[in-house]
Parts: sequence; structure tokens; C-alpha cells
Amino acid sequence: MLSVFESFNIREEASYHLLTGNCASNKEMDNNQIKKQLQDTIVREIATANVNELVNRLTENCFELCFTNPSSSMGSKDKKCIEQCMQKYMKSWNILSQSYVKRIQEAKAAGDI
Amino acid sequence: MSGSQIDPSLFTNLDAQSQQEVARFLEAETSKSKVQMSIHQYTDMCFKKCVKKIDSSDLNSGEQQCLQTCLDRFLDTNISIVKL
Repeated sequence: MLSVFESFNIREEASYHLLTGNCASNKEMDNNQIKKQLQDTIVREIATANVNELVNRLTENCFELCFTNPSSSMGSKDKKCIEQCMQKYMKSWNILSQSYVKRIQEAKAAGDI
Repeated sequence: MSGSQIDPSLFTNLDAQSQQEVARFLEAETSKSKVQMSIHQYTDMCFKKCVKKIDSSDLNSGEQQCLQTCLDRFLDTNISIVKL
């Protein structure tokens, strides 16, 4: 799931390779292109796995909180709850992410890891 | 993930130096991803403990404090167990 900007960057770099390709030998160009392709695939696959994980955990948590008594249809209240829950969950993710990374860095500085 | 799998023959077509670079790249991305997956686990766990009601899209100060403490105590628990 690439954003518009990311896919633009990839296109731009691809054309950059074409323009500079004249100076490099064919073999070298192949190498760089394949390398780029492999790295792009790695980044894309990991990003997809990350989004999947977030969507699964978001769904589970917000379903739990917003549908304590599931009714026969989705109302505007339910939609609002899901929306607010998503926001809250992602804010929680950001808080924990910052603290966790900070703690890893502190532990590294103290020589614990 | 079945959509865009890496073609193994691509990797073997690379020269030794590029293979090493790609391997190092994969290792770095994998370790970043491991940290992210841990954060997913902690968020799941601490959100369940700290957020009981949805009546706003913002976390109140109590919830923020709880999330913070939840993570700190979880990591302390892990460290204590490893040190035992």
C-alpha cells in the first residue's frame, strides 16, 4: 500500500536510472535495477504486513468496545464509535511507540542491551 | 502474502556484493518490523487495559497515563523475568 508520493518517488528514481544508465556498464545497470526491485519488494511486503496487523487489532478492539450488544443493523452511533475508537487506538499506538523506542535507546545507552 | 512474492532467481542473478547489500537491507528492515510488531502487541494489550469507553476521539489524561504505565510495567516484568 504505497502512498501517491512514494509511488512517484519510485517512478522518478526509475527514470533516473535510465538517464544515468549510459555511463554504467550493462551488467552494473542490471545489478542496480534488480537490487532496487528486491529492496522495493521487501519494503512493500513489510508495510503490507504492518497494515494487516493494525487492521486486525483495530477491528478486534473497536468491535469489542463499540458492539457490546450487537444490533440488527449499523447505526450512525455505531459508525461514530468506530471512528472515534480508531482515532483513540492510533493515538495509543503512537504514544506506546514513542515510549518504547525511548526505552530501548535508554537501555542501549546504559549498556543493558 | 501471495500477491507479490520475490522471485528467487532475481537474487541469484546479482553479483556477490549486491547480494550482500540486499541481505543487509533485508536484515535491517526485518529488525525494524520486529519493533513495530512488538508495538502492535503492546498497544493491543494496553488499550484493552486502559480504554474502557469511547466517547471522544482523544485520549484523556488518565488513559494516557495508564498506557504509559502499562508499557513501563510490562517491560519491567519482562526484564525481571529474564534476570531471575
